[in-house]
Amino acid sequence: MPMVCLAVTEETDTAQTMKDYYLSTVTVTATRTPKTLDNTPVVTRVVTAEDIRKADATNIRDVLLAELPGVEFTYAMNQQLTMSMQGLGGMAVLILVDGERLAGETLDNTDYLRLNMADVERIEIVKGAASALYGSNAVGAVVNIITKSSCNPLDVGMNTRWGSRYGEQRHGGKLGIHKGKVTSLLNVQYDKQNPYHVFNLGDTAGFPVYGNRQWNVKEKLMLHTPSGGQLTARGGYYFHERRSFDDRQRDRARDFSGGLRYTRTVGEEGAFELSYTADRYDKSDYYPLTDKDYLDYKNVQHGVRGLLRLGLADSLTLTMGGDAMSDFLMTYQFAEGGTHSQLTADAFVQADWLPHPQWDIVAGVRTDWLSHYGSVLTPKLAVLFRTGCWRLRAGYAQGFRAPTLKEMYMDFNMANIFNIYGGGEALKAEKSHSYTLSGEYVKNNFSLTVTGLYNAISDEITTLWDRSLDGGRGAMRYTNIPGTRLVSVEVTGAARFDTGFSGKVSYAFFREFPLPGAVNTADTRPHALTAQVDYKCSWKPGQLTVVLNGRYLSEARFYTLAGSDYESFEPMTSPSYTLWKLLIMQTFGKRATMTLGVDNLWDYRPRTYLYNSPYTLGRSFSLGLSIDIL
Amino acid sequence: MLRRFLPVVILLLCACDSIYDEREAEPLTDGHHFRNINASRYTHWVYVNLQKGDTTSVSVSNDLPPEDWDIALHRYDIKTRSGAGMETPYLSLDELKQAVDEGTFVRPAADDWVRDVEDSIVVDMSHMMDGYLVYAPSHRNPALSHWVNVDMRSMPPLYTMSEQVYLVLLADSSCVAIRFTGFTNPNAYGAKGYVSFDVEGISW
Repeated sequence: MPMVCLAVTEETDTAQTMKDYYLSTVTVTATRTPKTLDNTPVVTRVVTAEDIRKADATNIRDVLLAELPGVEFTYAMNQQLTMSMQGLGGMAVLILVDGERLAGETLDNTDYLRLNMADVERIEIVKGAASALYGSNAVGAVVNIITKSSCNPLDVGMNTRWGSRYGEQRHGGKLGIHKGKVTSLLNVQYDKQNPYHVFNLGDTAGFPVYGNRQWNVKEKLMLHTPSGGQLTARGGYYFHERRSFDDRQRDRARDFSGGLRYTRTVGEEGAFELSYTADRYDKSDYYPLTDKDYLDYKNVQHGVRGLLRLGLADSLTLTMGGDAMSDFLMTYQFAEGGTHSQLTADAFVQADWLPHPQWDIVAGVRTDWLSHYGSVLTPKLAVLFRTGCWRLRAGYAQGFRAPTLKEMYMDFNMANIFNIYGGGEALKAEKSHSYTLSGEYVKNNFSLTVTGLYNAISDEITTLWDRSLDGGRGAMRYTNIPGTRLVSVEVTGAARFDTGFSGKVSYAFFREFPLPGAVNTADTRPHALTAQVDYKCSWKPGQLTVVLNGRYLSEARFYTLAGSDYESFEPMTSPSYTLWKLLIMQTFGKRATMTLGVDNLWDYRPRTYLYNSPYTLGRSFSLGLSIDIL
Repeated sequence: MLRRFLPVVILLLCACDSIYDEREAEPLTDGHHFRNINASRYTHWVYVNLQKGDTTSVSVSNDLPPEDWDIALHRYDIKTRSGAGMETPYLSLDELKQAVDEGTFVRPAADDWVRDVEDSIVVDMSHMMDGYLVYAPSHRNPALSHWVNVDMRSMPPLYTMSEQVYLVLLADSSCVAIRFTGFTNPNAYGAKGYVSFDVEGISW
């Protein structure tokens, strides 16, 4: 993977037309080969650093909500943050940082607050299965966060942001050095939000919402070796603490990560990569009164990867490689806080063939082996056809999600109410067959993309009530259910004008087609829309940017488990809502930027706060300042 | 470089365990502080002898208490041997003792005590998902059982502890003050239904 430098961002950010943007924006996620958006055969959505700035985003949640209409973040058990992306849960969306997996989960979701945006160069989102390149969990989509590197000799900056309503604060700093063959970028960010109460209409008791605070420290060091290669070392520390009004116990999480990657070019088109990555994610309970901090969850992953890309001819590129990983898990949800571990290994090969200047065909296959499960084979095929301003893409890919250690071996007493048991080694992997069809029109200042996605999921892993367990009392057990079929269509139009105006609208349609005899249980909204209009102009102090962005989510009607047999369903409705944000950003010279924000512009408050309602108390304001000292 | 780097990373990841505290089995009581009494079973009352510092667990369905006991715990329900207890306005044991010493808090009259009543307690939560719980008749003290509020509007429930000090009338007509300090057991991964409290004899 080539060195991705800040200069790429600058280039894409200042692109004058949409056509320039598609020609200059490089993506690596869909094929593990650097390709421009214009040339990639797999439908890829890129969120640039400029998009992140315009969303005033603190973490990945803020970015995805602003950019993708089909994404929703909801509160699950004990206010744990879970994501759904067009009918798929967080466990079906693989999140990577610089192509590497992340340790740790809560209710099968990544810790999204861990993924802060301070050092992010761009985010690449590939919808549809992608297990042929990324293995388990790439059932429905891959979100790859690409981090920045410093390109200036000295890059020193600080930023701060204060919110008016929830005690929100975000403070950060960076120190970048680029001298000779060495590049280093250190980023530090702290953010927090106080606990608060939300009130249903007519309710005076209120419902407490947890507050939280996070520390994130990341270092990325790059060195060009005398042999012409590049060595990248990275390290990171993350600390999260969550508390409520009753401050007798706080939930904490920590992550310690590190990695080393060596890359070098092979011939004119090829590349070689060897990498090692380590990631440890902990959860602990902290008791302020006694100042005791007890570890109750630890997930440690060590992985190595080798990758070789060869340009065999002008029209054929071959990419092949393999990974090996150890996965260790200690959790309070195993009997007596026990531990389990597993090994995984895989090999993959992909051919990128250009049989004609208008055609690009990518085909790949991967085999994964998991010590507690067995082997899985996943293929993929993607085709791009170019003609004039049109790009037509079609693809088929398989995805799978192997049962996790928790899903296999859980043995957890749920508050003395019932037990939850793992499904053991009888659990099968979830599988998906996903088909995508996309048409893209890009001309001068305009672009229009229409993408259809059909995903057939089988052997879905979930918990079901099993009356035969616990001596006939019944208990929950992880098991496979037949699955479902999901259809989504996304339409995105974007325009940039010389007058300083630009805009982007994305609409997503979603529908679940349950298997015969089943009901629609997907709580994803059938219609969702995100929109952004911004205006830039230069005047005496510097550049003024005004951004209005918002999202609309339609009502959702679905079924949820109910009744004493744990097999019957009852209908549920989630009301529609819309939220808008106004940002005014003013630069002062080349070094300082002040940002004024109005969040929830129309002062929306839910009548009843459901698990998938926005936990907003109404309109709020924010003030931010960032200074590039050097 | 790889050979130098890998052991350092592995060592650092393993060393992270040292930043946490070890779980240690704590003694039940030192006479004044009772820690993590396991009252988590819905099917059992746990009888506590405050003087001797011991506990006896007895099934609700066969409720024959031990000879010597002062209070009994069932999750967050409390009953007393004397049949009387009350909530005070004080937020710490020291505050209460100071009020007693200064004479601003006198021994409650017989009518001031809140009597244990014939009530019902939850003995089976396994049908909660069906919308009903199984109850059994039992005595409980309404005042003492307010020491923690369980808000079941969400799952898991929200727990809010009272900061108040409680008075318990003992069988020999002496009084003890109790301030509850916890309902979870840090040594059992934060499991609920473990009761901790500080206790102090009060005399006028």
